[in-house]
Amino acid sequence: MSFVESFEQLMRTSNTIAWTGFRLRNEGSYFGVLWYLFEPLFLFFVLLSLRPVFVKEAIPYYPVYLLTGIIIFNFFSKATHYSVSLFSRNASLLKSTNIARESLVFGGVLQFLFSHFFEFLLLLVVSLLFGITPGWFFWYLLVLVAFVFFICGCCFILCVLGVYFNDLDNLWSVFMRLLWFLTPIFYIPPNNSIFLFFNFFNPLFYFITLFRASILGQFLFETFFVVLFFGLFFFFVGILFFNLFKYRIVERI
Amino acid sequence: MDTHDTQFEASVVLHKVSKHFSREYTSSSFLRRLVSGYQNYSQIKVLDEVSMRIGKGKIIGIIGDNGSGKSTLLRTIAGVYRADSGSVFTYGKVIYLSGAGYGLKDKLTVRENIYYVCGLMGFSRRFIDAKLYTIVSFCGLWDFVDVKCYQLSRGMISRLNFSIAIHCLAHQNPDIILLDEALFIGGDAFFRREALAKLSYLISCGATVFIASHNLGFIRRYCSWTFWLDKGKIKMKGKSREVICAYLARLSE
Repeated sequence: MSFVESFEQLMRTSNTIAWTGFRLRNEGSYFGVLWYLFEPLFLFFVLLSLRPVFVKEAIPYYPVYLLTGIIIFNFFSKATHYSVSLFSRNASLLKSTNIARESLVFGGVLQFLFSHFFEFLLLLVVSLLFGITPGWFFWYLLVLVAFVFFICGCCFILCVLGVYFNDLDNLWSVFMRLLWFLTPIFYIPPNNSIFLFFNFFNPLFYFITLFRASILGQFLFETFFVVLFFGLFFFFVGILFFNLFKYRIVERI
Repeated sequence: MDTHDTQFEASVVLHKVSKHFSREYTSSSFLRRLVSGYQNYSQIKVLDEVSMRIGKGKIIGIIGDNGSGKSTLLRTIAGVYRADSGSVFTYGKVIYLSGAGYGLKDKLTVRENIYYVCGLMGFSRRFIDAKLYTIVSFCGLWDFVDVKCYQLSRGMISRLNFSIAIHCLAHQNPDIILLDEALFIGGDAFFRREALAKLSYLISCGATVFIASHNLGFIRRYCSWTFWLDKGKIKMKGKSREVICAYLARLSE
């Protein structure tokens, strides 16, 4: 099979896995898509009402700032959490057929990309309500490509570790909760603080900053190169790590 | 089968293939269990320097007790597992058909599961549209086509699994077919008869076929040569009748 044929096969399989996962989450109901929106929407309203507690500074277009942070973090958090137990959930499939194991990871990320699309529509509506013109779509898409690479890389690493460390599922939940508070999603990090130091090494911080800037029509090229680096670096490291273990993990599940 | 004939065209060649698995058991070390449940393990040899050279179009039986390494051998040939040492060469398209099924999703309907599994096998939607009627009719589930799988009986699920697998197999035109306990066909006597007829037709179509099964009657009828595996080693190889007689004689000892 040529490289192009293998790639086509991989994409077709990933697409099947993604749509099936999406359908299962909705329980086959088209109305079920609304449930994706309720969670970020409720969180958005709760944090918006608590703004005076968290945010002392004036942030332009704060609702857009907040919603962008929520939906980007949601995408990362849900896709990575899903990947931790990916192989144990698909043990019978992996042992009974020789499908490309990568397709499970790509399928998982694609599934949450579909969900992100609906959250993105919500962001579009909120942005329009606040008078931001949707001319930023192209920049958003560009950052999203780098972000998807980054998430895929993380998922490749996590799905392997999830097979070897039984408690990773719980540990990852704790880590995500910590990351939620340490990443400036609903506040601006205070200057000269531990937050700034942490976020210097936090890829999500750069992604969220760039998503926000792109929505406001201020594309930060320097930050874009940083996120592109993070995206490609994590993707290739993830693929390499995954390839080292992809046959061994089937024996352990 | 092994041969020194110069005209011999090999389809599957195994040279001193060995495979180990880690068998986990509860660790006595509190610290190791505390840190993510990692347990002590010992190595067990599942395949022990297995060698064979099988010509094109041969139908080979693999017999042996539970845990003798039959499934591991077929999975190693299929590429699901990697051999720890030795080499495996296959010439042509390999299809592995397991009696364990392909991980049908309980919360999907029969129709959705067919699209899911066939999609994983790499078939296009148009192809599945065309084959849906044949697959459902074969397993006699046309009245249940839009019923979720958790509402079906075990026999029905088994029939659906078999029907999907056998129809996918028929249209992939494989050079090597690996049947792993695929003869454990569920359902009523009528379905089993139909299924066996379909399977018999497929294995006599010219592909190289490996059948790992406890159904010695089927192996005696269809396989010209048989390997008897015992604790990962080839205990005996030869004409099916002789090997099966020796195996049965050992059982009656």
